[in-house]
Amino acid sequence: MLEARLCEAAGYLPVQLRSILEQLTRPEQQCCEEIRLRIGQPLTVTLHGRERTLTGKALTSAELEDTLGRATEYSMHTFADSLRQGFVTVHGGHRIGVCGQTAVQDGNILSFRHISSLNIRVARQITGAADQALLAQLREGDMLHSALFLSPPGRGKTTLLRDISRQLSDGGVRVSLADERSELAALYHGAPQLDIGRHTDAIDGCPKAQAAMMLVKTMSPQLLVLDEITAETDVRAVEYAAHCGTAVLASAHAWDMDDFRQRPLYSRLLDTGIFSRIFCIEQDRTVRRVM
Amino acid sequence: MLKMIGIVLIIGSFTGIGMSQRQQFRGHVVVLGDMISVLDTISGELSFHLTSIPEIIARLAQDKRLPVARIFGAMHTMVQQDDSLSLTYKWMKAFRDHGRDAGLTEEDIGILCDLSEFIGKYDARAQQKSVDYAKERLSRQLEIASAEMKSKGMVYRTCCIAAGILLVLVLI
Repeated sequence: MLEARLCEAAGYLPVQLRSILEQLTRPEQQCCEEIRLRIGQPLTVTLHGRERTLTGKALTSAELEDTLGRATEYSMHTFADSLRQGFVTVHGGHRIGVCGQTAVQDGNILSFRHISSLNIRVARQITGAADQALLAQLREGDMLHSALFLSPPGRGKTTLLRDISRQLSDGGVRVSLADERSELAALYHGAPQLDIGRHTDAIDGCPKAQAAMMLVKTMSPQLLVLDEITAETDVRAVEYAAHCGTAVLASAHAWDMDDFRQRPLYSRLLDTGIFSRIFCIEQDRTVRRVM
Repeated sequence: MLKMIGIVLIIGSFTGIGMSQRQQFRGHVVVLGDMISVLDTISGELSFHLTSIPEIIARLAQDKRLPVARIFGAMHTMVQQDDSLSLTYKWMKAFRDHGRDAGLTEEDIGILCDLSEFIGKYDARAQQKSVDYAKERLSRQLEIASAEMKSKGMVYRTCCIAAGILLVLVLI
């Protein structure tokens, strides 16, 4: 019997592949981060950031396609947009990254013609990722401060944003999530697959800027949460929300404050002065205030 | 008195045979209409909500129309099973196993099975085209079935009544 979260994520594998994961010990199952499938290679898992090959036969194209078929509920049209971005979010909030040969027309990806590898990221909620000291810097009485979290990929920006949202929401703050990549709430059939708090509303799968505008107009949030500001439209959405009196919690890819300042998109964000708090997530996942 | 009862029974049973034949034609027309409406539902769900195929199947399994509920109920049960069988296979199996009982002909079943090659495998627009094509083919089947019901249905009923009367006359 596999550990619950791993079992849920592995549920998308063809039946014959699931038993291979039983090679992992219980503690390994509990910390398994990813399940990777590559054509012609045996199944591998990622434990503490390092890949480990499991004993078993080489995977076939049919097995990969079967896995993706299960993940998309044999409904390519439902997941077409997210597949074009190279991933599918499934029940439980697990995310499946897709690689292979694409069909491109006029510079846009239409679909994947052949799948070469899949990466199932096991979603695990880290309750308490945001400590009280951090929360105290974001909320002072009834006052909420807009804050930005900087880090390179893989340091837990999303986990931190989710946990802050959850704790503030449970503390009575009306929170709205613009969850474009289904990572914060991971809605499945309308229900959040991860704990996002009792007073939280989420729009899933919609471009961040559009979702943010809708949320500010319709849900009147006290706090708007956006993961990964990557485009001009996202910056405009942050400005719009801030002008409406909504505090904004967001994240951005940057190594540190110097790296952040050098990026033209973000320098404009700095100029707006919307974020009164900026934090860097260090390699050991500690959160350091830099502004 | 016994003669009279015999006459009524003979004519009644022959009329019944004729009526049941006509009812079969009528049943075929009704079930084809149901299937066309199912295709409309699928088309609508694909274009507006991008609903997943298992979700559409689950909804159709709850349909109040018996033939629809029978076919899609069986399909829903198969889809829920965690096995290595594809949706294409399950779609076809449901129609092959339950289509005849629901009142479809082999030709109708073939049209609906052809759809399995497209359903869930392409983007919504491509799937809609295949659904529209299947709908067009089923509509032609419906026209034929309606014409059959009008012509043959009437003939069956009339012939059976006539046969009943003839038998009575011969016996008398």
